[in-house]
Amino acid sequence: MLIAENLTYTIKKHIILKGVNFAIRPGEMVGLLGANGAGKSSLIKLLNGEYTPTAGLVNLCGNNLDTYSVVSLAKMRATMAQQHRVSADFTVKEIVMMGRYPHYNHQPQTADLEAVEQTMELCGVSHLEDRSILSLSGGESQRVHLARVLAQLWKQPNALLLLDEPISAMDIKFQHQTLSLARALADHGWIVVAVLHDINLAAQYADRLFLMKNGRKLMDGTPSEVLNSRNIYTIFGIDADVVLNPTTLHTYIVPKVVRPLPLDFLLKKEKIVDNSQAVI
Amino acid sequence: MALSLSFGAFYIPLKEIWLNMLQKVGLFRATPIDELYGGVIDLVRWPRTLLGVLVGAALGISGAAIQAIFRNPLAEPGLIGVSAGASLVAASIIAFETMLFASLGQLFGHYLLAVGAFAGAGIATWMVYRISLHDGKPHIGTMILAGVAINALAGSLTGLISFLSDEQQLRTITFWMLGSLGGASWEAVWTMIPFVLLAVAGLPFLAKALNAFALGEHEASQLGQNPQRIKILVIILSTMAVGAAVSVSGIIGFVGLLVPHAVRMLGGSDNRYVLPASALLGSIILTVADLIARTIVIPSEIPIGVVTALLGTPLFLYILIRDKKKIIV
Repeated sequence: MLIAENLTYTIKKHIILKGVNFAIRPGEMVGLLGANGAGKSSLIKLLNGEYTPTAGLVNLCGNNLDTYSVVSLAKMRATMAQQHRVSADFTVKEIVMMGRYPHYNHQPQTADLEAVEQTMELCGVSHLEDRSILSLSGGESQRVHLARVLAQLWKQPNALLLLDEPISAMDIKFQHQTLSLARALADHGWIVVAVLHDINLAAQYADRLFLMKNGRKLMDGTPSEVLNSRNIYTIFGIDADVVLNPTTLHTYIVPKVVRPLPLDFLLKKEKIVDNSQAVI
Repeated sequence: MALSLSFGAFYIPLKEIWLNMLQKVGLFRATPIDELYGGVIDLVRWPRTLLGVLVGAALGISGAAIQAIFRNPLAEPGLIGVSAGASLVAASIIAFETMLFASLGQLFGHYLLAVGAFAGAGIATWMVYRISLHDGKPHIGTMILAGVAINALAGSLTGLISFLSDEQQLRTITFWMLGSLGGASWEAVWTMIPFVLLAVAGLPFLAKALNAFALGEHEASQLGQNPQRIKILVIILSTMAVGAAVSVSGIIGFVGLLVPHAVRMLGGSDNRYVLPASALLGSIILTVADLIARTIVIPSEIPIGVVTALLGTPLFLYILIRDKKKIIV
């Protein structure tokens, strides 16, 4: 179980996250949706222990997060961050092996080598193993980091996998492949929490969606429960039709055409202002 | 393994020196007098070579570790104030010894310069470290800026002292700053050993953590490392090693910055390899450089800092050009 109670995070009186409550069972995959700056990444960082909550607490498997040692926590939860900047010229295999660091002392064991091999295979980066991480494209390096994060939790019975925009740079095939992998790992007993921007992908793969705005969790439920035109307008400020995908039977949103920025109008308006000034 | 190899690297040159000396002395060519050679080798060559090995290892491994925690390929031990602090104190001692440090001079005798330089290195690094603390944790960005500031301050004060000193002192200061292993003695070697051994034995234990640092501090802590503890350990170990190195040999440039780069270009970025290999390559380069420094203009010596730069830079540039495609800084 992953439980958040009244989770609040402020930076110098600036409220980032306020009064967030939830409980996630092993086997659930939760999608975090919300506009930019809604507090999704901060929530992830509170759940992984990077931030200390200003108030409230996070409870993982019956113990408060701060009672775990760094190493024991590293063996049961892994985070895929939004951005990765690697400062040295490591090979892909070395990067993925870093995911096993909590598990071995000096020399990687058979289990570590296997985990690295299998997760690289799953993320489709086996053929890149000797390439430098710095030479890869955005999507490729995202897949490498995904493999590293999975290697960190590989074969752990109840793990917490936190993904912050894991598929932002991937092509459509790997987007689906990654989310169905996450889905399968949740079915396997892991808790998966993923920040996603594609509402339709989230609806397709997640059991539950949290819709967030201004540091609060406003809606919480299955995709078909929370995805309706009104909620989408509340959270994102866009008009959208919500339909049932006839093929997959998943909830599906179709945004109405958003008016383009009235550039011409703005330019004209400026001209009018100029004229009026000229008249005066 | 590292030690044995570095002995190997210097052992052949030592034989050459032996022959060289034989020919120079001339007289003894036919009847080698073991006592004399023994004396020279015991009292001069051994400490000097060992000192070169120790100083090179200290500079190389500290450079590699500092580049890892700063996540910056341009970082070097000098960045956190070690060399600048040592230079300032050393220059003051050289210039004002008779006036200000007379009593201290009686206490430490010959070693005043070394002790002072070590203290200067420690104080400067401590200042840089204190300035960089944010909520009790060292912040790397601030540390670089604080290092630059402290370096500039110490540099300008050293400049002022050079300006105030007379010709002879100025020459001494300049030579000290260019580095030399000429002050080698068994005492210097024994003093160096604990500091360098601590760094050479201790830093490789942090190799995994330093690898994880390449992903960023937060990622490293996600992987079960403690970034704050690692930073503090690296700074303490490398300041001690480099401080000790600078105090016996003056400032020897190039080694701390470029040796880790050369090592990475040759064999990859895994710190489990880079740290010991930097110590090894640092030792080799310094031993060879010292050999050149003291043999090329016999009976005089050129400063070893000049040699390391002259010798190392072309080698480094060669590797750089050869591997240009692989390098992304």
